[in-house]
Formats: sequence, C-alpha cells, structure tokens
Amino acid sequence: MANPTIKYYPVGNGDMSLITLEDGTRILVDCKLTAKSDESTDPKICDVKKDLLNSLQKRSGNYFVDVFILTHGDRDHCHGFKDNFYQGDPAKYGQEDREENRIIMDTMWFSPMIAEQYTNDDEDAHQCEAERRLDLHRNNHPDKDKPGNRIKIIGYDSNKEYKDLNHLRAVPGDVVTRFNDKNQETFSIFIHAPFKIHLDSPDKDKNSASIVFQARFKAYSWKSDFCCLAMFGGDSDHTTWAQILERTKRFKNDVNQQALSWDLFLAPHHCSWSFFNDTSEDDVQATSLEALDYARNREAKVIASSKKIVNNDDNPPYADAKKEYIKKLSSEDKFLNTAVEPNESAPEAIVFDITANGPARAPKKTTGSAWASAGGAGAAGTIITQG
Amino acid sequence: MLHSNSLQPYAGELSVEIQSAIQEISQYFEIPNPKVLILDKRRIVVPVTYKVSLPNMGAVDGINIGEEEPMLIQLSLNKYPHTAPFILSDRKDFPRAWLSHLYFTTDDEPARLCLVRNSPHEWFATIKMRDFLDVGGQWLYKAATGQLDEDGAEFDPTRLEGNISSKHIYRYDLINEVVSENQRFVSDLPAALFVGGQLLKAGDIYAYQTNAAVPFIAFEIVHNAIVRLSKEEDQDHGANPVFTFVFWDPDSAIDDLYLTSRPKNYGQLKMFFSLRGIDLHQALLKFEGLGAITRLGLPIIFAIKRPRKVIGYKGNYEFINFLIISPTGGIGALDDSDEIWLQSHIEPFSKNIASYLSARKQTPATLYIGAGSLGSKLILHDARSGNLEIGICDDGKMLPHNLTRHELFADQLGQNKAQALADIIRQFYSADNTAKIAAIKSSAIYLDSEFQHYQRIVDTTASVQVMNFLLSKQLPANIRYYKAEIADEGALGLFYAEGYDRNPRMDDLVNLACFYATKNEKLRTWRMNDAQREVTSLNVGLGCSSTTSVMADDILSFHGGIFSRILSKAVTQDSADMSGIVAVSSLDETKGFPSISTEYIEVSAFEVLNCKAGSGWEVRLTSGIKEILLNNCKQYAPKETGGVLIGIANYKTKTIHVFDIISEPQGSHGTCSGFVRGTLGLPAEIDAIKKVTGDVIGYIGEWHTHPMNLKRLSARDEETIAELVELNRTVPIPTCALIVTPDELLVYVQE
Repeated sequence: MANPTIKYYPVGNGDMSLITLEDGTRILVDCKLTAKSDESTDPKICDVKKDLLNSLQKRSGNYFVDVFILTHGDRDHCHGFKDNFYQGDPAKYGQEDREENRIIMDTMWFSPMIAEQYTNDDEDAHQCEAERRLDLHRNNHPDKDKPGNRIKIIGYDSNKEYKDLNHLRAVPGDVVTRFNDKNQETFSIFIHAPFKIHLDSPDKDKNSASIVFQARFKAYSWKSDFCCLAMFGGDSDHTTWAQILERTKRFKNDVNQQALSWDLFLAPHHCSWSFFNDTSEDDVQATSLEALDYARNREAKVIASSKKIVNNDDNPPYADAKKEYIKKLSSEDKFLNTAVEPNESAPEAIVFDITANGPARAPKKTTGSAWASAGGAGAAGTIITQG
Repeated sequence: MLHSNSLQPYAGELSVEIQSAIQEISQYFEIPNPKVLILDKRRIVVPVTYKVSLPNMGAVDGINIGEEEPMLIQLSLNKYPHTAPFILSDRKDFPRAWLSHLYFTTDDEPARLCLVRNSPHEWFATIKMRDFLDVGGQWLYKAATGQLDEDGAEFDPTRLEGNISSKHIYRYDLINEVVSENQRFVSDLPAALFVGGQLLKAGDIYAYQTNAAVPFIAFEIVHNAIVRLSKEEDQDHGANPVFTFVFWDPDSAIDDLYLTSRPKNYGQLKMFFSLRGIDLHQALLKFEGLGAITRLGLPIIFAIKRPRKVIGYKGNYEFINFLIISPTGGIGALDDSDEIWLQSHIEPFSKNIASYLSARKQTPATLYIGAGSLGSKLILHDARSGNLEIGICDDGKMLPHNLTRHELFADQLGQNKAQALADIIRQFYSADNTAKIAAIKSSAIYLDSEFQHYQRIVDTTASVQVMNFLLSKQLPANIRYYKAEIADEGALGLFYAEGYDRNPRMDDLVNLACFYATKNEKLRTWRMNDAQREVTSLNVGLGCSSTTSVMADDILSFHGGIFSRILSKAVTQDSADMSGIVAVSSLDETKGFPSISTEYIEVSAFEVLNCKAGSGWEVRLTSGIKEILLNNCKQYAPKETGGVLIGIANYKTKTIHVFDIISEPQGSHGTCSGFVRGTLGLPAEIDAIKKVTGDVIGYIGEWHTHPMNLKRLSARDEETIAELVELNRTVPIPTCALIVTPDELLVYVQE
C-alpha cells in the first residue's frame, strides 16, 4: 500500500489541505477554490481544483471525499464550497453535477459555531447542507447513514441545540479513529478546539473558535508511538492556544496522548501575528512559544499557507510572525511558505509522504516525454510582447 | 570510501552529444566545473551529489542513505546517446545488500541503480536528461523512505541483467516444490537432482532445460537411459541429456539481503556456497562418484529463501542459476580460477503462459478440417493461445508451392500437413501434456467417431464435398460447425457459424451470404465478379471452389486473423439461443492503399418444412417469412393470395432454401376459390436478383393461400404443378408449391 500523504495547497491567504490515508481514505480540510481555477493557464496560479480532482477517488463516476472538515466559516476556508461540492440528497446526484465535477462529501465535520453567524454564501451553503443531514439523523431517516448523508458534530452547541445527536459528537480531548464509517488503526485525530467558552461568549469570533486538531499517523497499528504528528490550527489565535496548552496539560494528554507534539505545524491564520499575540501588542505570548517547543525533533517544519511573506506591515502573513517561527525551528529551510514552493513563479502543492520514520517531501514524480511532446496552453495563454 | 577517488580524469576528445550531456548534468546539479573521470575504456563518469529528502527521523529501516548522496553519472564514450546513461553510487559502502532495484554487480564495481523495467536504452530514447536525472533522485528518495518495492507484500528479485551468459529453462514450480519440501537426493546433502538437456541448434548449445526431478530411487533407470542415449552419437536428438543440481540452505534460513558479490570463478562460487553451509566441491565429487555428471556443462541452481513471495513467482524461493564448465579431468581437476557463468531463468512455454499472454480464457477442443494455408494459420493461432485439444484432419502433403502462404516451412516439405502441424504444436509445449493434439491423415469424409472428442469443427477446405458430408452427418449435440473461406481474389473473407441445434445450418448460411448480395454492396461485387470470372490463373492448393483463388500470404493472413478472433469470441455466445453468424471481412484495394472492414449478420433459426408428398425434399425458410405468409392469408381472407419464392435448391442435399418472397406480382388476381399469379415485371425482378447474386439465387417456387383451411393441394394446384414440373426441369429446378393455410405452411416438392 502507498504511504499516507498530507498535501498543503497553495491558495494564497487561505487553507486547503488533503490528507490521504494508507487505505485511500481522503480527508479534505477546508477549501479555497476560486472561480474557474480549473481553467487557468497562468503558471503562477496552481490549478488546485484540477489537482484536487486528480487526487480524489471516483465512485460510480462521481468524485467524492470521505470526510470534509471545515475548521470555520471564513471565506478563505470555504471559498468555492457552494459551487464545487454537492449539496443535497446523494441519490439525486445527476448528470449536471457530474459534468460540473461536484464533489460528494461522504461525511461532513461540522462545528455548531458555524451555524451562528452568516458571513458569506459558501458558509451558508455549508450550513444548509449540514442542517439537511442533521435533520435526517434527528428524524432517524433510513438513509441517514449513507455516504453523502453522514455528519459528525465537533465541539459544543451554541444557540441551537443538538443534544439529541450527541452520539455524533466529538469534543476537545476526544480521539477520533472512525472516519466515514470505517475504523482506522494507524490514523487518528485528537480534537483540541473549539471550546465551549468561545461559543458561549457574546463577542464570539470565528477565528478563535476554529476547529483545531492534531492528525496522528502510526507506521503500524501495534506501535505505541506515532511516526507523524501534524497540527492543523485553522485561524486559531493565541488565546485559543493558551487554553489548548492549559487543558491538554491539565488532563495529561500532552504525555498520555502526545497531543501537543508535532512534526508539521500549519501556522494558524496564514502566518498572522494573532498566533503570537494581539495585533496591538509587540511582545510574544509565552504560551504560543511553548506550543512551538513541542516540535518533536530538529526536522520539524512549519507550513505557512499564505501569500508570499515579505518584509512589510501586512498581516496576514506577517513577516515578524515568520521570524518567530524560524527561531523555534532548527533552520530557516524548515519554514515552508506555500506561495513560493517549489518556486514563486510556479507554486505547487507541498506534499509530505508519511513514512515509518516521519514525514518526507517527495520529489517530482512525473517524467515528461522528449520524444513526442506538444506544448501545453502555458505559452499560448500568456501575452507575449515583442519588439 | 568513494570510487571516484581512484578514477583518473578523462583528457580525450568528447563528442558534441556528450559535451551537451555534461553541460545538462552540471546545470542540473549546479556544478560549475564538473569532473569527467574514466570508468573504463568505454565509459566515463561525472561525479554529482543528489540531495535526498529524508523523513524527520532519518531514513526508514535505518538504511544508510544520507541527505547528500555522492553519485556518478555514467556515459558511454562511443554509444551515447544511443545507449542510456546509468546512475551509479560513488560510495563504496553503499547499502546495496539491503536494496532492490540495483543491478547485480561485483564487489569492486559501483552499485548501479535500476531505474526502469525493461530496456533503459529504449526508455532514455524517449526522455530528456533532466527527467532522467529526476528519476535518479526519486530512486534515492524511495530507497530512503522504504518505497523501492512498490508492492511491499512481495520480494523484488535480484536484477541479473547484464551478467547473463546463457539461459536455463525450467518451471519455477517444479524446483520450488522440491526445495520447499526439502526433498533431498541423499539425506546428508541439502540438494536435489533434476534431469533435462542442453538444447542444441545447428550443433551449438543455446540453452539448458530442466524437466523433471530425479529421486534417488529412480536415479539408476534415468542414468542408464541417459548413457544409452549418449551412445547414439550419430542420431540428432536436438538435446544432450544433462543433470541439474539444485542446492538450498540446510537450515532453511531466510535471507532478505541482495547478492552483492557475483562469483566470477570456481573459488568464489565455493565460497558463496560455503557461506550458506554447503561444501560445493565435496558435493559435486559425490555426484560425480554416482555417475550424475555426464557432460562438461554443469547447471547448478542455488535456492535462496526470501522473507516474502518473490514477485512474478508463486513461492518464496529465488533461484540463482550458475553454470560450471568442468575440465575433461572431471570435478577433481576444477581449479579455483576456472570461470563461472550466470544463467537467466526462463519459464518454458506452457498452456498457462500462452493463455495468459493471449488473454484467452476458453480453449474448446477443436477439430480443424483442412490444414492448408488458411487452416494452418487458424490452427497455429489457436495453438499459440494455449489450446492443447486440437485435432487436424488433412490428407495432403506439404508441396513447394505451399510455401507461398502456408505456416509450415521448407523443412516440412513432403510431410503430411496435419502431422507436421501437430508435431510443431507438441514442440511448443514441451512442458505440457500434448496427448490431445491429434493428426488425422485422411480425407474428412472418413471422420466419424472422432467428432465426439470435440466442441468445434472448423472447416477451411472450401470444399462443397466436405460441407455436404458434414451436413449429412449426425454430429454430437454439443459440437458447433464453423466454416471459413476467402472469396473474390482475397477481397472478401466469409466466415459462417451454425446456430443452436444446427439451425441455421451451414448450407443456409452459405446460400444466405449469396442472397445478401441483394442488400450488401461488397457481397454484390463478389457475386457479380464470381459470375463473370474466367479461371485464367492457377489455383494453387486452395481447392477448386470459386470461393478461393490466387492471393498473397499477407491478404490471407488478414482474413485469417479476423476469422481467428471471431472463433475466440464466438465461444462466449450463450448456447441456449445461439444464433448463426455470417461474418464478412473486406479488404478493398481498388482505390490504392488497402481499406478494411468487417460486418456481422446474426441469423436466426430457419423454419424447416418437409415435403407433404413424401419426396424427401426439405424446404427451409429464413426467419420471418412464415409470419409474413400467415399474415397475408389472414389479411386477404376469404380471397386467396400468393406469389413466388426466392431462393436456391440443392439436389445433393434435397433442400430448398427460401430467403424472400414476392407477393402478388402485377396481373395477379385472387378470388375465394383460386389465385392467378401475374407476371408483369416479375421476370425482370427475378433477373435482377439473379444478376446481383451471381446467378445463384432466383425463382424457386410458388406460394398461395388457402384461407378456407384446405390442408392439401387442390385439384387445380396439382394440375399447375404438373405443368410447372415440365418447365422447371429445363432449368433445372425442382417444382415447389407452398400452401399457406390460416395456421400452417405446407410444402410440396416434385423433381
């Protein structure tokens, strides 16, 4: 069987990551699919839709992901959801959906926080689809457990109550080992956030209520240690991380579950300063630095899913945040920015093979033909000015 | 610890292509001034450093691959770019024993990466240097992350390419079974003895073959037989019998390391065996003492037990094949410096391999009638795809002019064709039971009990005699009769398959093909050409039927290929309601370059009627005509209606085939008591049919209705038949009258 992989897509300031397990199970974390991205001929724009479709499996000719996790409802985490993901009764998936390559989400992971505030159409579409599924489960519909109708609630309720659906729920501190109705023996997810306190606060803020989790890979089911621990922080800020540290240590999950350790750390909020402190503050919160100290070894890497990080006052990405991360890494090259990998002129997804000895970056796998090559649309799609 | 430290700089001239390659290498690895070193007289190397992305906790399984790997890009001085570069490790301590996908090299040679299956030269001919170098990086990455073996559940065998001197043919399973079960020749030695031969061609040994295990109890019989054969030196056996010696680890130890040291001489081979607990020299002396060493060439196999099933085989053992050439003084005279050769293992050709490579699932027992040029092609297509139940019936001998198109060669001139083809097929399958490959060296008309052994008859004789014989024969229920022939000077191939329970029958189909000339342009051209053709060219070996004629072998092969494919596909037809088939393959060269096409006509069962007057004639109506006639009867009732029958009569089989009807020609008039069949325009219509079918299909009888359900000829009918009989005898055709009642068809035929 092929090694599991984690793929971080270059989507500018936004997140979109695909976890592919040994058995082919695919977990998509957030999406940022801009309009017509699959038709772009500009080499500077990675065609993430095309790459995503090539990375997915088909069932009866239809693309599907096993699990779609929306960390929170901001546009840079769910852009394109409405147009690119199938919403509705999976039995009614039709020819038009197939032609539009709409992706079926076998299982949705849903945070009740998303239900509370409307900010964009994509988030609203996600909310409607989640509620459709929740209704099926609430009404004990015979099709509720079919692929395309499955749902998992992450975290606690807010205004709307889903207590009758607690059997579908995972809360911070839980370890999830079942994905899309299938138990995994070498992969699990430790849920860190969102906490109840955020969802109940009157000035709630989506970013600080992001789903935060640790993806945990084992080389063999019988092994007690993990070969890769990858942290996905959504847009969580320093206050969330302070609580994550406090709670995890309080329940001794830092030791018992290695829940704070990491080999790969997706820098929260696209490498913004908010992970280190409030934007008005220049100093760095000790808890944020402590979280970074849980890097397991000198090869640990931070991935900034953002625009190219330059020395200016933009935030995110924030140049000083990058500096803080690099201070905690063994060398500068352990900090990876999706916008410039492998190079700025033609960024590609950053892919890690999860080997028995940890994550490793696979080299380019495609080999072109020199014998019968034909130009792609690259040059033809570029305006050339000549004297 | 680097090979490159001891290599000298190359100072000679470099071709433009090599200079360009070195430039590409230097750009790829960002080396401004690459070194060019001499590997040997014919090859240079460029030292480079690959950066390898390692997992966070280092290379998987502790394999000694670093973040920077010194490598050598090897280029051929004379043959680049027509031979591929190779990527070698510059490290003398490269962990070659732990890695698959390395070529088998000696200790002092740099480890050479195997980057692609099959020929690296073919591969390099299609890719750029940059991509080639990329693949080297991928190889190192896979080695460092434990991904070299794509299927980790199986063991990748040693890559022996480039080290092979000769071939050793044997079934893996044969040796594997003996080794796995520790079936020793004598109890104190982990070894077994097998018998086989040195295969000879034109006096030279081209391969060794091992055929069967020889347990100690059978040794004397086998040995005596070999000695007896060896004395018949004047006879050409095609092979010298030899024994093969197979050894394995006495402790059945599992070895997951790749061989890094290829034994080059007898001393090194003894060491190789010694490390695995075997005193090779003593073992060979023991075999020599028993008389098991009958030739100077000694094929020796060592079985290495791998931790997993070996890729491509059914067991965990990997076999390394050696060949020792012993001196005339025997084993005792073998010197440590005597050279040792490696042999590659090849599975013998077998039914399983043939079926697999031909993607053939079913191979029904088939009797081929006719082993001429077309028959020989179909027979060998079938045999090569794994059918070992083939009967071949032909009484003809191979003659010089047959060489134009026949599959046999000049060495078979003078031999019976059926026998020669059967012999060839048996030679293909030396490792299989070929008892059911049968040659019947007589005419087909003497076939009788043989039919029960087969599920298919394939008649390629183009002989009406054979067809009539097969039509008259009561064939077993499960047999299907196929017939293939070439027509119109090779422009047309015609293939027929009878339907379930022999309906449609072969004569229905053959005549129907002619009738279809009224609908199909290619068939029309054939029929009209056939009618006008003057036989000016010599018909060689294809029989005298108008359906065969002079043509080139490639044309015949085209049709033969199509027929063979139809035969293999027809097996999948559901037998319960199996329809007949008329298949037409066309090769049209009238417009210059050939244009090809195929058409298939599915033919439903014919309606079969026997003459009510007891004449012995049978009338066979193509499907659908009965319904039309009954409908006409009903539609015109109470008046009578009628018309003529279109078809053909065969006096030999006493059969009338009806393919069409013409209803109420102009001038016809029906009443409640009779029907007058008019003639206006009818002769012209019939003539047109006759013309396009090459004078084969035409008027063949009369039909009219008896709506009042009179189930016999009326007095008027009998009078008319009497008149018609006289007229028809002049053609000649039998006189056929078909009466259509509301629920039944009745036929009356009179010659």
